[in-house]
Amino acid sequence: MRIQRSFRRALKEKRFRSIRGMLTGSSEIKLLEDSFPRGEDGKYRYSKPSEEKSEEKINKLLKKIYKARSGPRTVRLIVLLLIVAVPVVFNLFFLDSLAAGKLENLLETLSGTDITVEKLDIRPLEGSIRLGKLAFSSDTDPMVDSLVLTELAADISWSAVLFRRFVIDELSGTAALNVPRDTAALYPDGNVNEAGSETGGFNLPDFRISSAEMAELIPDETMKLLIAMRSSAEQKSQDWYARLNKESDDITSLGERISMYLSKPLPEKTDIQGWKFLIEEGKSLGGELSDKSYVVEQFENELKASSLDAKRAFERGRSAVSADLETAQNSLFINDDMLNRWVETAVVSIAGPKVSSTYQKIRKNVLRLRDKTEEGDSDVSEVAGKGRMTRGRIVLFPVVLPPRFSIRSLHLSGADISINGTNIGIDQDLAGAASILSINIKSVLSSEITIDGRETAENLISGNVSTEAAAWSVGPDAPGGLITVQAAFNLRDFNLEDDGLFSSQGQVILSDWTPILFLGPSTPSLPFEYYFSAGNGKTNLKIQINPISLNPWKTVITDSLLKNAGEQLRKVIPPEAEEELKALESLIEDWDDKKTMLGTLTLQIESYQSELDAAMDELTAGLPVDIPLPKASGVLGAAGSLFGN
Amino acid sequence: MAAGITLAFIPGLTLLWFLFFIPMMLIRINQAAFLGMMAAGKLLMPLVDPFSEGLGYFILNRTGLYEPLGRFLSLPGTGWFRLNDSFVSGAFILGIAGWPLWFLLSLILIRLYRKYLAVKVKTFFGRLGEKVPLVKKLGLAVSASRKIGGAV
Repeated sequence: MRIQRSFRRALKEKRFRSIRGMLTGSSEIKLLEDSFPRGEDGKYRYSKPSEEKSEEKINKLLKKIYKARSGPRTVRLIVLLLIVAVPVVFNLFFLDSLAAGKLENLLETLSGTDITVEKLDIRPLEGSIRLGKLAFSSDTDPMVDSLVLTELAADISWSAVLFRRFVIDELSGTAALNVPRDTAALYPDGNVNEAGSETGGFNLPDFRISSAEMAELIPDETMKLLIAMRSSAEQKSQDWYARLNKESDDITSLGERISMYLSKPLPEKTDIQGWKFLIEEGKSLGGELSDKSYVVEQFENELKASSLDAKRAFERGRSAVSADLETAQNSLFINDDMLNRWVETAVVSIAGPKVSSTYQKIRKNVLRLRDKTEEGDSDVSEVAGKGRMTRGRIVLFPVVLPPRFSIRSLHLSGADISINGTNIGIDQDLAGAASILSINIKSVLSSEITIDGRETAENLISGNVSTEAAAWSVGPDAPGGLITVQAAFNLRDFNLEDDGLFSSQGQVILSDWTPILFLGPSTPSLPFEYYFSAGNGKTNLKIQINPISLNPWKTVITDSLLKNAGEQLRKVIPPEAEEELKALESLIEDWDDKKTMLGTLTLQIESYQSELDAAMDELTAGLPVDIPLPKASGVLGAAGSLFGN
Repeated sequence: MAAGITLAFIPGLTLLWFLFFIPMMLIRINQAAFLGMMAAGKLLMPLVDPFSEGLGYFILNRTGLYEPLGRFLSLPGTGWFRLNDSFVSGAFILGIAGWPLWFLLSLILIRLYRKYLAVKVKTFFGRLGEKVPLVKKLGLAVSASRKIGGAV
């Protein structure tokens, strides 16, 4: 039979006296003294009684003493320490890395980009947190951190911690923009870089008009008119010329006949019949010559009329072509409506998807933040998987509490950036003031944002943004330049049932354009007013341009178009039209040539006439009897006047 | 065992749980039964949680509690009790109020164990001890600790 472990080793004098003092009966004291004899070193050691009965008694006595002992229970304390202290010690050693991982995950969820947290040092006793580096990777370039915060120091409010709240009295550090990374960023799932799809694929509409499009500006009627006029004139010319040739042949034949007549020998003086016949033949030839002279006169009149018609047709055709050309040129001049529509289309096409995408991203992140921060106030209980509930419904009591999360004073500054704020966080009702955040990026951006979640607040988020000629670009082959924005924005609430929750309006100036191909190297700046609204998952962007600001654009675009379209315009006049006009012109010239031919014919007739007149004079002088004969010139006298002789 | 059941009701990692657990570890009770019952009770708690959450919400919404509980929660540190959470307060109230019931339940469980299971369990561990020396030593250690403690 073995006694309790604690009595097996030698007992010191003090310990033995204490145990003996616990006993009241003399038999028990004697039994103890007999069982623990004093050794030479002054210590008391257990000596097993010889009798089995005494051994049982001392064993029971020692158990009784053991149960009645005072002082700590070592085993229990060890178990307690294992259960309570192990997590505490574990946190002391691993709290920093655990908190860093948690912070990284939280910020990645909120921002949707890769977050780097380095050298997080939580000092609970000091009430401070130090963070060596907090970096937000760029959305577009995985090798660049768009914002890097270093040497962050936060002083924690212990009074808030006692109320299970997290309030940072002051947060300060340095900030830097666009810092290169050593390794590529790993974007969280579901947040794949969509920059390419957002910026690519846009082609700015231009005013260039192709010759095919401009050809439509020349109506078919003009061509039809030209062709008809030319055909008519040509036909007339051909007919006239054919008839003239025939008449010319007739006149030549008549001339031959007159020559033959003149070469005939005179009859005998007695041959009265012969003289009569000769005279009648001369009269007949004179009459024919007179007829031909009249015909030539008719041809002359026709020539005059046709030439006049052809000239008129030519002028009419030329006027029609000029009118069409003028119509085409007028179509190249830009009016206010056209330019306004063009700019609105361009800006909405470029900025619409980007603004909408940015708004949706911010909205998603803010909603995530709200969901995260309002978990504690939710009116819905939550169950973690199939296990126990993690929390129930929160019932509100009249308690004055600090906000759940707040940074009372924020100061982050760097070479090019400065971020300052007061009361940054949530629970503005509890904090008694709105969050005000001021961000200034040197020579780029200046903004002030107010977030006010108080019940009396008009807007949940409001603020203004002004940029100082920040660079912008739609894509590698698309326009870009510098953008200057003066904008105000406000968000009433994140209630999805309302329309137009978010609205923003302001002025934007696009300047220093990268060359727009069709406008040449000098593109004027473009100021415009915008209005953006979003709600119910839909976004709407409207552009309003001051007509006065479009004047330089109108000048540049018109000049550019006229310059570029000069050759196009020339091409616009169909070559057939020019050919028709030239044909008409050559026809008129041809008629001028034919006028000479008419003169020749007239001279020829005059020659025949004079010869015939001379012959008739001779004939009159040689008549045996007085026979009155008319002068050939009396018949043909008027023919000379026809030719202006 | 009753204390184990009560602690099984109270959600872990709350200040309330530690405030009950630490004293229980320091007073003279059967720690094995306490810890074992707490662990076993935690397994059944998902079935009870909806009821305890409803109970907590019902009680917290009593007008009589509005002012006093508000004053209590205004004290520094009381926020860590999470008493304004219907789930925590309901489980806490159910665990505390049901203590006598858990005690009686524990007595019944012990009697049933001793009547039907104790011999079989001892026999089983005895046979196991004969084959595995380590189990035998553990059994001796357990029996020694029971003699030292002696409480239910």
